[in-house]
Amino acid sequence: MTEATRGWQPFRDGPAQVKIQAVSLSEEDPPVFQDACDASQAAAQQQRQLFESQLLVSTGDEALDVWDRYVTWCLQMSDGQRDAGLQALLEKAVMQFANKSYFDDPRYIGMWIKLAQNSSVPGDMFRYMEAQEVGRSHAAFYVAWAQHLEGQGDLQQAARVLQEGLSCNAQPLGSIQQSLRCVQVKLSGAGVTADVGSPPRASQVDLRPRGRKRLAESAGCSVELNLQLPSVVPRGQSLPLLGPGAPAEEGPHTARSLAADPREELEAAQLPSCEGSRASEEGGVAGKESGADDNVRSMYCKELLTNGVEEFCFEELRAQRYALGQRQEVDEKIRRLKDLEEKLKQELEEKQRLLLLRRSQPAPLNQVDEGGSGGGANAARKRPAAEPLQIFSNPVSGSASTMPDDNHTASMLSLQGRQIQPNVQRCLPASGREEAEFKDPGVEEGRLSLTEAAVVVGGVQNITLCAVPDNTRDFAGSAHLVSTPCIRRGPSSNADHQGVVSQQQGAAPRPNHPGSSTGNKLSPVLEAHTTSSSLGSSVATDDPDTSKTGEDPPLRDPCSGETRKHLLDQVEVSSFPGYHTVGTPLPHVDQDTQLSLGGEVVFILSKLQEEEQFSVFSGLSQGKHMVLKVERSLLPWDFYVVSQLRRRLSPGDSASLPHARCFLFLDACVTLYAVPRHQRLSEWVGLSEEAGVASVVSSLLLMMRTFHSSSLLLGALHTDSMLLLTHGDSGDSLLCVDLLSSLDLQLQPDLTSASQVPAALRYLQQGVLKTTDSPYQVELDLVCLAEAVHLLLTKRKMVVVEEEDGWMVEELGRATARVGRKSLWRKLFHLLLNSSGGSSLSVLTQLLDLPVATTPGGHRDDLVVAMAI
Amino acid sequence: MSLFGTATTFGAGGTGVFGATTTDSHNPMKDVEVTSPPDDSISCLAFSPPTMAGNFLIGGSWANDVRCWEVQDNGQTVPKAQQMHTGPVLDVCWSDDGSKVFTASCDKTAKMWDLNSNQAMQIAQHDGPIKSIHWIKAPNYSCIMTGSWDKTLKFWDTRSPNPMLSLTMTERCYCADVVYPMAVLATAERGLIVYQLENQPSEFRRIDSPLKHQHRCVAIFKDKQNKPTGFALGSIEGRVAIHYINPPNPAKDNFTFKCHRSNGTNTATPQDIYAVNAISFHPVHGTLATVGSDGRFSFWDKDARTKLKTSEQLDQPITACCFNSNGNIFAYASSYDWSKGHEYYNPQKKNYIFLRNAAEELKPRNKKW
Repeated sequence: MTEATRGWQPFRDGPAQVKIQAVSLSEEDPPVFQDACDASQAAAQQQRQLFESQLLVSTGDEALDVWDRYVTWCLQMSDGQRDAGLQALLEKAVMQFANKSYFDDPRYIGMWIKLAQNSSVPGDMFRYMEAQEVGRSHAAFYVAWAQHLEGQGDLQQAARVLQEGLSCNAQPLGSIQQSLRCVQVKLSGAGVTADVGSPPRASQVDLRPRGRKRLAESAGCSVELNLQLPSVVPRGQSLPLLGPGAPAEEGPHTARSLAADPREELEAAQLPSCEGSRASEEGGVAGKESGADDNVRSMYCKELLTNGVEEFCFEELRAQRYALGQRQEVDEKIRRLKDLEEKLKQELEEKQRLLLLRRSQPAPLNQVDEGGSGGGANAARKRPAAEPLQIFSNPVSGSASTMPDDNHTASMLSLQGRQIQPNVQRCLPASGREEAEFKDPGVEEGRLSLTEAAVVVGGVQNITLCAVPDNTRDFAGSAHLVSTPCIRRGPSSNADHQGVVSQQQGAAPRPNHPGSSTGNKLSPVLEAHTTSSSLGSSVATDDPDTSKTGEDPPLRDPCSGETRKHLLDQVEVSSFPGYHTVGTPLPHVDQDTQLSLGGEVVFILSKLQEEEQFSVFSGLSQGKHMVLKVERSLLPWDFYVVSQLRRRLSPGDSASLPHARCFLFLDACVTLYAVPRHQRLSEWVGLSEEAGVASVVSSLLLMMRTFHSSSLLLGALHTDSMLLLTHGDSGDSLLCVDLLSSLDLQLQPDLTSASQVPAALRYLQQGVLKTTDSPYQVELDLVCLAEAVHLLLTKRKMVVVEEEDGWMVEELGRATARVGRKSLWRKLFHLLLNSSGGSSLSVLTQLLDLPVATTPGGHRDDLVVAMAI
Repeated sequence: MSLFGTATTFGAGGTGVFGATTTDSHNPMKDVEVTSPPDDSISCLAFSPPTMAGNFLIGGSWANDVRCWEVQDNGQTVPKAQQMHTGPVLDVCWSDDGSKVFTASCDKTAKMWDLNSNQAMQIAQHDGPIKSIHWIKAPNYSCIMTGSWDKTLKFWDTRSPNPMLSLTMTERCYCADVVYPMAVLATAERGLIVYQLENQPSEFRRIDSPLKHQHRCVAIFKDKQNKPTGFALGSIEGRVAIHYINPPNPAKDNFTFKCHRSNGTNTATPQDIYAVNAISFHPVHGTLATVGSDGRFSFWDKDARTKLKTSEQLDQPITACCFNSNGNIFAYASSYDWSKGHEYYNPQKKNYIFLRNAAEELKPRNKKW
């Protein structure tokens, strides 16, 4: 047997060694099968049911795979005997995939070959296969056919078939050639000369399917040909096997029956061989059922119920689906835990490296290097407290560090002031290069940190292993999850993270994870940093007091640059993946210029937005769309927020987020987003219909929910800074390129007191927000959302009025009729403006989910279409 | 933009985006809604036995739970308690004294729920999901009968982890009913087995199915002496067979009738056929109710061979039904029955259990046909 056909012939080979281990399916062995069935039979039954139930839930390629295994198994079970049940099964299988796209699939061809070999008229079947072009480019087909012919003693014909295979360039050619040689040897042995020399095409006459007459003569039993293909063609489906080019008229019996009126064939009904008993019972019973069911249509999934040989009931179908869901849930959980583990590992490595680096670093070197741009940038960021500009006279600074004075704004100066000092040390690059070499004074430190790192590693590994949240979820929970998927997703993924983090807090420091800094206590690594720097590097400009303060006094504006700077240093944003520092000032960026970022050249296509503090550009890099935000501040806050968003969401949820990178130039911060096709929201809204506005509202809700479920707040919602990203099939999403007002609740847990956020002032004065709500900034987000929705709808500023049941926008005040779509908008604004005390997630979910609940099978867009007046 | 302009009319029957209730067809019969219905499809319903004062309704669901409601005389329902399985619940039954409820689940176990203590304990184990569960009260024994997709029928005395008796069937159990001393079991591949339960359960007879299509539900009916005498068997294709065990004239006495179909008088268009999901006999009148995938329930008089009533169409299939012990209440559950596969499943769709006054509508016709 050649390679190509190996494994397809267990039927011929007799039963393979594979004896079913289905016995193991039942963990215990209850005293059940004492009666008629013996154990092996029961096991076989069970295995059969397993296959059949797999068929129920698989489709397409996966289903073909199941069929393939099922059929192979049946062949083994049939012990080489011809089996009517098996034949029926094979018929069903080949019919189910009677689609040109499968005609070249080895599994499909294999099933056809088995069908042919198991049939009473294999020759006809092979000819039929050829006519339908099933397996024409596969050696297995020709070899199997030739073997059949050989078995019939027709060596010449066998040789011709193989020649035909060669001429069709069927793969692998080797197997055909080998078979051909065997046949030729036999031919010569038999004293007959094979017609090898003649052109292969000439022999085709004999291979072509013949007319009815020829068939009847040659086969003599063609009447037996029981492949009633059309009878199993699903309703409404054309007869797929009869390809456009198939020779219907001259085709063999089967082909002709295919060509016949499908209706007539359908009425012929039931495969005779399919279920021996069924057909006979059919006749016996018919008399009992009064009245024939003519001209009827079954309103249930009949095809599904009898997908295989066995029939199933609805509940079995559903139970199968249920079991599948449960399996997937477990798999998903495992996958997420693995992802998390991977993430933590990477972070840990990063931290270890940083730690090592810091220890080994020569005392005066506390500036930030930038990847690959050479040691010249060493001194770039180093600035003595009082005189930031002294940097230029620093002897360590290389030639590359030229900082244009005029780029310095007042805010920059303040940033580079005293506040920056203690933290500079932590702003080490994500991947230090030159500095990584241990200098003499640092060797001891390096060793020390190694042992510390080992402890840390051990700690985290243990924790990662134990931090598996409870694996079993009760059904009430999962039922709840099914009905309100979004509510769960946020908190639970959060909980997962936090679970790990909080357990980690003691042993495994993750200073860049905000979760670990919720307390006022410094995390061990920070403490280690402090200690090490004060011990090892006395020259360091580190000020332990400032580091130890940890949290800012509560009354500070949480959005101020100073606070931000402090927070970013605290979490070591410089160690985030995607963070780069560039030791040069930012070149001029404008339309039609090029900008080199991390070895990648971005062509700036257009300016999307220009604000006092930043500009947004649209660009192209390597054929991919990019959005650049150029800020004159040196705070990669946007980058931080987007990174945290990605970090806190589950891997599945974060997949759709645009990938962000950050390039910190000497005088500017560039946040680079790789995005799909995009458009400014304001432009799009201007162009689109009202329904479009509604869909944007839904996107806004989604975006805000994503943020809130990650403990991030948008702070203020500027529709001008929103980009609408078109993802293709998965719909649109929004990208907010201005996250300056954004807040991180995990990093800034002290957001309680009044007047911290400037954006809130107006609402606080009006009374829409109350500082007693804690943190009221969450409500602020919802109010801002209301403002944004209002702006999108009316292009006017929102004016709110207080009614007996809460705040409402003026236009939808008391006087407005409370019916119709307006009532829906009223509801929206009511929920957004009066969210005090409730969970923002539940408000957002309520707004997002209700429509789906009330429009069965409806897409989320429907909701918004309805909302759009 | 007309959002804040003049009032627009909100089309009747439209869908409320923010939960505003609009007219729909979830309760076209204006029946009483049971409060706190299960969160997923309702697979089974059972009313408390006559030995119990008051009416208690048990419902099992695909949300893995079994719930108990008290149905007060004024029609109000009060949720009483709930028990969980680790898989969907497929069947429930009561003990004859009403102190216990038995539940069968896809998790391959059956449980006994003691309503007094609100404790549930496992009493049976199969190798496959358990599709049917029935309480058998014989003079000399009492037990639980479970029929499973593992092709066995087992009898449990609720105290032993091992069954008293295990009978192997040729096919998976799809539905069963018990009225002592008779049990009838319908299986896949249109199997039909009658068991006698006197002294000890044993197979009594295998019957050729009177139906052409998959068996879906079965209910035993009694004769004038209140003895089980036959059964009604519902199929997946809109037909019910009335079958007597020992009829004087089988050819005449046994019959089938069509139900749960679209109006099929018009021969030009094909008739839509729906599955018969459940059958229940009225405890007093002996008439029967059928419920179907078409979202309708119908009342029938098998003796007069007439239909007594057909409901309006609900917006979802009716998956289960039952009468209370005195036959005054007819309970039916509206939820997805999976008849069109998982693509048509909308987990957001609410499930309902309705209660209907059945005192009058199920009275048989006076005249015999």
